[in-house]
Amino acid sequence: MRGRETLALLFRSPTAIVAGAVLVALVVTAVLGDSLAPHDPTATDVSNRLQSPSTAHWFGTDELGRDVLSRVIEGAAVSLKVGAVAVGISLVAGVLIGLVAGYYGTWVDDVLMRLSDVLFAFPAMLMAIAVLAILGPGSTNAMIAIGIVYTPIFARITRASVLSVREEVYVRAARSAGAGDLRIVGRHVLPNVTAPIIVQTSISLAFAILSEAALSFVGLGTQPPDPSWGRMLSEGRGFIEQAWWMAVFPGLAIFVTVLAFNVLGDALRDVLDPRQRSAMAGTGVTP
Amino acid sequence: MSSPPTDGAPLLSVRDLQVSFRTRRGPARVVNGLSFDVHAGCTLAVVGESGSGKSVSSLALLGLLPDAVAEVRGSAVFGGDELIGRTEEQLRRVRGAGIGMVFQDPMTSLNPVLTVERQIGEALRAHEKVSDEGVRSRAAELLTEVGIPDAASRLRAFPHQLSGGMRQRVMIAIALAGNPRVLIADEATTALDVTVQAQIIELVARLQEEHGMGVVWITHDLGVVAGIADHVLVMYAGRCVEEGAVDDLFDRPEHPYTRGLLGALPVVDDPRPARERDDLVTMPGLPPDPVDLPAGCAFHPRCPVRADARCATEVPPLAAVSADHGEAHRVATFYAGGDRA
Amino acid sequence: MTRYVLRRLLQSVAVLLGVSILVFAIIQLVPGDPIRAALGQQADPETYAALRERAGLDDPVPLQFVNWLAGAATGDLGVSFRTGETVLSQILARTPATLSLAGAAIVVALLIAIPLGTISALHPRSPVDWFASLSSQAGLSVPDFWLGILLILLFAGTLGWLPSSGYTPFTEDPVDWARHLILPAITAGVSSGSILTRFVRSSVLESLGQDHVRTARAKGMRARDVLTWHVLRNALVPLVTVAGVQLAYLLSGVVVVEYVFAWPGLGQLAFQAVESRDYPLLQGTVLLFAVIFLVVNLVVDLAYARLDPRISYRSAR
Repeated sequence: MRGRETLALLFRSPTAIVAGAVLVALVVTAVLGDSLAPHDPTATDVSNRLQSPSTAHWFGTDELGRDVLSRVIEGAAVSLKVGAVAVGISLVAGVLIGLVAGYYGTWVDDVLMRLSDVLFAFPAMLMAIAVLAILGPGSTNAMIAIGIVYTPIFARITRASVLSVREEVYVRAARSAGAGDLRIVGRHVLPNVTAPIIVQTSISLAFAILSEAALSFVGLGTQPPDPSWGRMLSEGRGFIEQAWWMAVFPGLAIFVTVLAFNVLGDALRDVLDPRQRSAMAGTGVTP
Repeated sequence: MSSPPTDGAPLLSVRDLQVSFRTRRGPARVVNGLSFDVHAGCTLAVVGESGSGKSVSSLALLGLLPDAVAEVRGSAVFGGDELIGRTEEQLRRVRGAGIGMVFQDPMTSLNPVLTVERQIGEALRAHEKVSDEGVRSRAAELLTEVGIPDAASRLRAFPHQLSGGMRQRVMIAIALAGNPRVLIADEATTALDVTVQAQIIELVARLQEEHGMGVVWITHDLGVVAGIADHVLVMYAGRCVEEGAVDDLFDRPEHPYTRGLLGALPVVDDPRPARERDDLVTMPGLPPDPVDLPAGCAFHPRCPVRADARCATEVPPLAAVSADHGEAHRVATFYAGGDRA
Repeated sequence: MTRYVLRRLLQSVAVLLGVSILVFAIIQLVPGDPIRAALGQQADPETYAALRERAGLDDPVPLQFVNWLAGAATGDLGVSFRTGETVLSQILARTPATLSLAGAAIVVALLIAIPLGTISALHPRSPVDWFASLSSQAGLSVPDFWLGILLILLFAGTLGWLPSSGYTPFTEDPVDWARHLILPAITAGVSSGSILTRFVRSSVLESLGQDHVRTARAKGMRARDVLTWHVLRNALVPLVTVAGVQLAYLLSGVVVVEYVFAWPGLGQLAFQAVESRDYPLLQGTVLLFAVIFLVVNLVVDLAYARLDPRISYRSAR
């Protein structure tokens, strides 16, 4: 019921519809991948290297004659996968930590929250780099690194929501009626924390995809020959004078994907956040 | 209490003022055809519950409502010039210099990060070139005039260093800075405690006499009205429902709403005369939603009388009460009870 | 107020201790022998032994930590596995470049945010507002490394107006310093500019609705004076603190931008450390960034508490 209302409201925002459509198209692209790609993304053709965009190669070819469009399509799966797994890690870990901290309170809360303060003190990109320095480069490790970086924010959001519902009458009633902790959390607490978590998930997906691209760009993320957008961009950077298309199109793909997740996150916040600004807010008039 | 001099042209003459706000749910009709005159040396009290449109009317006159959402129609003639539909620059010359305003909450109505001198100085400089020394001496004069002792040192104070009453005196000094002919006091005593209220009322009355200003008191507090008003206008849902000379209206209210305010409704069995009541009697129900005004008389859903079938279909016109009442006593109701019966 | 300051200081010290433990743990968590990893198998046994001795890797872990912490507190961050130079001297050599870049980036961010945020607040729901909200959304989403490449392509490549990469110290040639700074600063400043644009917009909108702005208009002040003295002045006071937080982000957030523009700052140093497995150098840079971040946030919080006395009550839970 709640989900349907949310969807109905989302459909009233044109930007949210566009963002949603872009993301659906992206997922379809990632799933179909190979069958959509006009060429084999790994097939080299040195006689056709560094070709500018044409009807045969819409996004041109790279320094080994590979079709850039096919590689961008192939890269969608990599980016979405790394983003989804990384956010999945932060979501599960963060929500669990937040639930425990918020629900039990006392010293458990103190310890967990101070720990998240410590993690927050590290700038996100630098922390991911440090984790990869320990684990070694690679896309799996990049997922773990990004997952760790975004865990504290989920923990904080969950904790805040739990704190706000913990003392509500219905939760206290359930507790005094002898319901177990798991049951209370599952039936009463979780449903109330979903809205802010959904919003944060969408925004985190944007940043996770951006981080993965950045890490791959500096050579710490996805390794060759996998066509990650960040890697392609980094390779294209070396040929920026001769072949602008090698850097421009993969970057555009990252930009559009991240933008879509951000726009959707904002639209979700507008719909799910009860503290909606009224039409008159900020005009200084209260008739 | 003198009755208003009906001779001489009014300083400010408002006719059929209408204000509506664009909202997501449709236009909110906040003021629906309001007319009144303000004469030199006289005090007009505009009374109503919050949301009755009394503050919005005064802001509309000076173009202080946001253009993006507010639509103002009707006429307001001040000193021979029409105010409605004027350019921002034309209105700016009237603000402060022609019509001064004092607002409700002196804490928020003064800028917390600017000194008193600066804020009075802005009002002086808005309409003429004044030197720094000129500003300082004139500002000190104004502070003395509004009864602030030790004016020279108060000039350097920030608003939060002053008491509530002091702040409201500073607001009045700002309003006086442009030598206005009309002073609008919008709930100017509501945020103050009772003893301070009395001082501020007295101050405004004195200043009015000294400067011969026309004063508009916008208030929901009948105690203020009874003490200083010459003429009273009762607003409900953006319309005038009853107006008249203060004694006339208080002694013989005609409209069921006015009677409700004064606690003089026939159904309410209260032996005390209206004058002994110092505030609005809380009436059951709420003012109507300006986006969805009821058909007919806007008051009829709350009206304990509902004397006539037309109440729910026709808007009762504002018409003079019978001749034995004061000349200016007019009421908008189909109810013919009370004194007229 | 004093209690709040003390409390906040203690909190920061506690977090700093936690940060140190994590940074210290980097070298412990590396699988295998970190010095072997850095030097390779054919390392000179004497160099190897000297480094191992200097890093104290044979001591018990708690003792290592205490020694490391005592060193870090006095500015001794160890020596680089690669060059043998002290970590501190390498960090100090790179600091001016990063400071110039982050400082210039926050200027770019404010130059974008203040006009754009103000105009869109003055005309809410207008095409300008719509454009501002769309472009700040875009500015937040655009990958900085891609934006950097596009700017290089346009201004260094096609137009040839500015150098594509590199750095000249200010003391050598201020003009050249500035020419090299422009593109990286824009690249790094766009995302902060987007965040600040949203902040300025909501702050100005809130300020516009304040009663004292209505008073100023009712005085008959000119619209421009009302805007400058009553709307902007009041709206921009909180901007100081938000911009401070953004500066803290930028100091560390410019790592990838430094990479794109071959800008010899601390971010580049961190990448070098990772690539060459120079763990003491990595620890030093990470610790420094975390400390900068903590200190700036502390200063901002305390400054804000001074500006708004209500804060100290609220957060002293």
